[in-house]
Amino acid sequence: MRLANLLVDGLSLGLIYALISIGFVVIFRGTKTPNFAHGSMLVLGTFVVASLHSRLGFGGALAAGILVSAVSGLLVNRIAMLPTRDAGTDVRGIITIGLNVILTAELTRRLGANIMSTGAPWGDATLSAGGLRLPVSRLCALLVSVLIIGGFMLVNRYTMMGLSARATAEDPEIASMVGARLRRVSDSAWILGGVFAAVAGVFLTTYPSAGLVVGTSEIAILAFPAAVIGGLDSVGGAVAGGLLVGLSQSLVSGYHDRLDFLGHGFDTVAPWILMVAVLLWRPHGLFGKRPLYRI
Amino acid sequence: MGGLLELTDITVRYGADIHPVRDLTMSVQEGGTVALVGSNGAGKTTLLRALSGTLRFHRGTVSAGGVTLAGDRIDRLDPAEIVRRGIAHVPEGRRIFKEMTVEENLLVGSLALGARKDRRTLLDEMLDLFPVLRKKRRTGAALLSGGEQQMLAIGRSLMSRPRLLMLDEPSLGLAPTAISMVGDVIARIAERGTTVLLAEQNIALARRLATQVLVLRLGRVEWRGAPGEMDDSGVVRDLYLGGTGREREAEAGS
Repeated sequence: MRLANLLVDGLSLGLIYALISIGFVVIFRGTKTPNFAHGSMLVLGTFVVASLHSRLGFGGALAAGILVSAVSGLLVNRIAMLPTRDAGTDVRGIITIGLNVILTAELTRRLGANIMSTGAPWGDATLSAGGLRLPVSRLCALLVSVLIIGGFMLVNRYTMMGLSARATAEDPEIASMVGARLRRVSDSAWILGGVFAAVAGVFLTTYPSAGLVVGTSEIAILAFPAAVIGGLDSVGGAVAGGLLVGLSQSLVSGYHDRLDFLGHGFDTVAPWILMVAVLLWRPHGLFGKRPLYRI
Repeated sequence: MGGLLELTDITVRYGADIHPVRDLTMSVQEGGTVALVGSNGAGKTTLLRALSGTLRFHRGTVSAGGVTLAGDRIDRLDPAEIVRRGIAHVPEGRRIFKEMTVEENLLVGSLALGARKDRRTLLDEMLDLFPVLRKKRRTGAALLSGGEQQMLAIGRSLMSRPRLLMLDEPSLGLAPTAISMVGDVIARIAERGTTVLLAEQNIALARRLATQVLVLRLGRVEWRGAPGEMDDSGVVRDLYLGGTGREREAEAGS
């Protein structure tokens, strides 16, 4: 029963990582930029939700958080990414590292040592059935993630908007030649990345943690190994990578009594070890198609 | 003048001082098929990139001169806008989207049409024009043969309902039967009233399809005329046997 509980816990956590990781992948596909500021964008959106929920109610605060996160993505694209679009992936990646430091410094200044609740209505309630325990927060995360990820995949696969984004990801020059508006595609990638991060942030900070803390961005950065394991440019890979990272964390922390020889808190390291192992085996990730984007 | 497409004193620059196209002036009349011939490095590909607005992807710019399509300046527009104005570009090497199916490749070609409902009708028309693609419409585009990929690249461009279709070396790397099929298709497209600008090293193909031939050399138009006049001019001999304009000038002077 312990294994079943850990699997459920790992998978539901993995879906939250998948949501963050998809945002990361969408930005990478749309603009060839590894967004190392993704974690702090997530904290920014969640910070807005946590700051406003007592005034606006959870729904209003969530909408505001999503909006701020989306706009921050759009601004990053307009101010820092479009002007450097002809520079290499490495240059834009380094810019996002800088942005991450700036944003994290400001958020740390505002958050301090506080633990801010997002006011999510499900709180820390837990459902139990036949020995299986599932926090309501995780159940909501599961439903919302499946809806968002499924909806996104359908749009990506079956609409002209999705086709335009896929064309741009594969060959921006030819995509623009057939009519894809590259600026619009990159804007929407950054906006979507922001939206997914804010939603994931709310779930990440309701369970198991009690609320938003400065360290939340370190948890959010786990979406990075998830994306790399999946292959950086594959949406399906981001989901698989997210689930693997969630499972590895949950299983390692659940069986910590047997893994004591590895030291305390090994669950935070496990996803990174998994990432290195996958890269050694498949340098472009499990589902990455193009060796061009090897890490 | 007053052609569909007018280029006036176009100069293209890559980097600081590489000018693959210099002071080039030419005109493409509506309904005609103009062939640009010339050896590697003559500036054919660069010229087509300048027209479709894709020089930026190769760190190039149009540094002087202007281009008009039906009287409107287009040389400062971005590629997505240019295709909306009616110029479609089939690039060298086909460059189909290999991660998509045949049908998706065609559909993506209609992005320039915006939110139109007749996309499916257009797709059907295209599959009629290329029966070989109809059979493989759900197949991954990467699995097509070279000739089929060229058909797909042409079909993708036609999905934007262009007024001017530009093709860059459509015969490159294809087997002779495939070249003749590609030729048939281009002839059919021209018959339907689409203006064609064809950059081609294959003189036989260029001659078969063109109503006008321009010979490019080092970024300039070295000769222009009807395909039938090519033999007398000696231009074909110069292109293939390594003769140069300077030698001819010397001959003329002696």
